[in-house]
Amino acid sequence: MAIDQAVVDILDETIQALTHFDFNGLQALEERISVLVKSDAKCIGDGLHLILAKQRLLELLLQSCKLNLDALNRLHRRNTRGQWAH
Amino acid sequence: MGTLTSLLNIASEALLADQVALNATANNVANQNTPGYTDEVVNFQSGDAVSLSGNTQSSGVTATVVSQRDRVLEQRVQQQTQTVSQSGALQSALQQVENIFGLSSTSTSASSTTLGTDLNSFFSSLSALASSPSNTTQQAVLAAANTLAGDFNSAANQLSQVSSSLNQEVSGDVGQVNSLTSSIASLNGQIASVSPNGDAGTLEDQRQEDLDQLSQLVGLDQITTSQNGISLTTSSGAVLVSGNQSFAMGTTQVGGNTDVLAGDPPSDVTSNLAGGDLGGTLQARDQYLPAYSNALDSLAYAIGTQVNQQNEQGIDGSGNAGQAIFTLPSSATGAAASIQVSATSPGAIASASSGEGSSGNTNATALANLSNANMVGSQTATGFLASFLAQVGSDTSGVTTNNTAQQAALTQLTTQRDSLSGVSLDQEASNLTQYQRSYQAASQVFTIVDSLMASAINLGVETTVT
Repeated sequence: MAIDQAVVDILDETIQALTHFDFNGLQALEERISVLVKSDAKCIGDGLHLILAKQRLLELLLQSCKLNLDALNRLHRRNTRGQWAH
Repeated sequence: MGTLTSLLNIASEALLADQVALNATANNVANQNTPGYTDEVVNFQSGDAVSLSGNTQSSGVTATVVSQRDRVLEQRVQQQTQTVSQSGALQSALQQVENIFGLSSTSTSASSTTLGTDLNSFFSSLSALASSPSNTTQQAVLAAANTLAGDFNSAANQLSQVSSSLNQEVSGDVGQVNSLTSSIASLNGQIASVSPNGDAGTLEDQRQEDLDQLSQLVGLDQITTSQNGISLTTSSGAVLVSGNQSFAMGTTQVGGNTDVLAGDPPSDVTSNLAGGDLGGTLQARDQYLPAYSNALDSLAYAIGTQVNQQNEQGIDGSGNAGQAIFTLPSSATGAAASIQVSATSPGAIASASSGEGSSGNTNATALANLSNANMVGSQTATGFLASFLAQVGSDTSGVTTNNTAQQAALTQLTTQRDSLSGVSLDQEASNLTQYQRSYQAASQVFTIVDSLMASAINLGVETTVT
């Protein structure tokens, strides 16, 4: 159960950090979950539902984030082209 | 070399330009907490060089103030606002439905709800009657039937009240939409006369603020028009603002619901409206609530009909053929709201079958067995109720998750808009890199969790984000 809660906490913190583009925080979270994987920890039944729900939330946020980043990159390229055009 | 007069003119223009820059800075500081205010920056531009008597001289410098806004980004924020408002309104309505049935985010079990408990009690009372037919157990069946019918009436009435409050919300939203579209049309007119070819500063900020508020109410399509104007239509194409003219939305009553009229000429656009509070409210009222009401009606009608049919096959306490226990409408529509217990005396519960005397229990056993019969389609009554309540819980949970994700995405977009409007292209590139790396790091966490679960419990299927 402890591992399940740890994964849920990491997912919660990842969602918060991604919402505010806290890159340093996200790097730390990536390391934390990598340590969990290396420790050969296993998720067991009880917390799985919550993990899946949080993961789904992160997935939706990543999808929106990707969409918006693509738009921003296009805008930036357009602005850069505009600068060279002068 | 210029003349002394021209030098003085140049110096004077430079001072004026500096004054414009100072004013812009003061404006930015004064409005840093003003909602919708966009930072102004000053563009300095050298005047054309003039050649005079073989000498070239500058004609000074002019300053123009422009707001740092990016219409594409603003529109993305508006679209996201519409999505968040829609899912927020839907979530609010579904949570009210959850409350009606006593469900919560952590408990969607039918047995924990009043309706579930009382349905079980009704079937338990029939089992007790089958075990020991008597006036007392017949009285218990009657009491349980009354409680169950009351639960159906209460749930149906509360669903109806939610629907009524959603109708009121539709009317309120339409009123606010009209006020905002009128203001935007007026601002369009002012902007066209003040600044038809350039940034209109505060006027555009006011219009943007109105657009932000409008986005919370209804899904919009925005078209930039001549003279720095914008036209607005609903997401289905009904015009709301064109130039300095606004086209008010209206409401009409259709089948007990408040429908929305929009466009020129006005037509019923209810089924095509999406986005904003109005979109979410209509989605809850027209898609989710009718489905829930229908399910509740089906359950009430199935229980009432089949208990009645079985009771009519038995012999009551007076030795007469049994009568219907429940009063029902002729079809399932409205059954939950109107189901009543028609029997007034315990003896009306027909325990015995024909030929075994009024003390028999054969028909009571058949009544009790209804608890295991497929009463609603291929499901038992308790099974159907459990599925229905699980569906309500699942719908609410899904909408809640979606709303949380959309709100986070809106926060992201607002951050991006604020950091990408009014900074240098180099800073933009740096910000974008930071966003991209954040996205990649979060994707990595997602993937690791995915593999952690897949390897730990052998899910077999990995979800991925591309």
